[in-house]
Amino acid sequence: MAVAIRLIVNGEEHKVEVEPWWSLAYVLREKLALTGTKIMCNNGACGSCTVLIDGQPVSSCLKLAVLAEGKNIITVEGLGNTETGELHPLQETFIKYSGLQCGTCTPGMLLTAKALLDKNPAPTEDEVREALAGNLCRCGTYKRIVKCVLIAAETMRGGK
Amino acid sequence: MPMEYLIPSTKDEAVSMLDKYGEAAVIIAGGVFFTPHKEELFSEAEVLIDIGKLGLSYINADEKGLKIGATTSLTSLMTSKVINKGVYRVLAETVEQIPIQRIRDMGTVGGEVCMSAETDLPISLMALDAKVVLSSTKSRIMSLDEFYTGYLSTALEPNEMVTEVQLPLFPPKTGAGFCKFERGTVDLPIVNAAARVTLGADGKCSAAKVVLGCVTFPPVIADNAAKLLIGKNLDEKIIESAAETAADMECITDIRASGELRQTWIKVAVRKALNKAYEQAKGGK
Repeated sequence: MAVAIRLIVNGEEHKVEVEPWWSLAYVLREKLALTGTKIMCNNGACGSCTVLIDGQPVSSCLKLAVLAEGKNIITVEGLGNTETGELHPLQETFIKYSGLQCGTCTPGMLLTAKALLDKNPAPTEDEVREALAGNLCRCGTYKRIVKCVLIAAETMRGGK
Repeated sequence: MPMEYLIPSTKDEAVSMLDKYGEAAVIIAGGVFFTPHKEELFSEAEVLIDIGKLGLSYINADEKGLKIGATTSLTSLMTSKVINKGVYRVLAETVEQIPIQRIRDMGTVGGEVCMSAETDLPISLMALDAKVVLSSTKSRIMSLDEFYTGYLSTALEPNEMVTEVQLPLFPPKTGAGFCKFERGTVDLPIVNAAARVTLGADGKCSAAKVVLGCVTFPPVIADNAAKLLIGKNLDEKIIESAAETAADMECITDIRASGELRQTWIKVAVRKALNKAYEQAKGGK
């Protein structure tokens, strides 16, 4: 039996009819057409479906959409400035320093990194690695990803 | 099949829903286990009962010990000051070994306990003589040692739900340790072991418990190994022989490892768990 829920995604309120067993990732992609959120392993292991719920990184493939009722959700589409199209410093850095190869893990990496930098604007390399521990990159670009997060952190702190 | 979604606001309401739907109902808290296993294990489910609003997220200490609510997240358990004190610290150390923060945030204590004994937390809870409160129209309290009955199976009746985990108080100079071997971070462990020891005034072991998980079903309480430790100074030699005694058992062979490999790793896991427990017990007040 479908349940009507309210989701606030990237600042925009959506009313969606969902089946109780639908994952948030499925609803975001198939019902709200926000395909930036990637479904890879579909069991919480890879982190590519990471979105932020009330600022916390969450595996949206595990999260039932009904359990996200009324919550503030940020997907990769809402990471930059949605009005001006300006990218988030993390996105800028990932592009500039090639923090990706195939790009499938990127949305999850960006959002997990954003959650880290929101809490800890000056993380050490170990802290970045720890935070990204649940995000797998099948191309193995970890070194550059970590570097990008550190550079973006510096930029956001007002460095170069 | 259409599925209904129910959100009870009190424990009594949840229990009466369970009573009504029985096997057709699935209890949901974090959802870590349900979502990926829906097709495989829950295809017959007709009702989802969300117990997130029952106020079951708590860790309370009193004169009898600790009470942990079923929907307490693994992160809350790991970071709790009460848990990070003394012998209970083994629970935080066990959860810490789930390396993905998102899983620790979503996963709940009740979920880990109900999912199966093939995960880590139940093994550490068993080492601490945990009991579970099974709520239904007639509630009962059961030792976790009796709760697990086989592979992915528990003594939970269709009209019951786990609402609380209770831990006793332990005497001073008690320590506990946990160790596991696994293929990858998202797979079930190959072998996990937890141990608890209490030292008497003379420094000799006065109480001990060793629990082994994933080596056969349900988990094994290695009484033979524990008995060996009682009344002894826990030196390297005695810990090694307890580990060898624990490993002297028939282990399952599955896709993760052979029975022989499991036997070898029981030795290592028990030795490490006992060493951690002993170190903690020595330092304990």
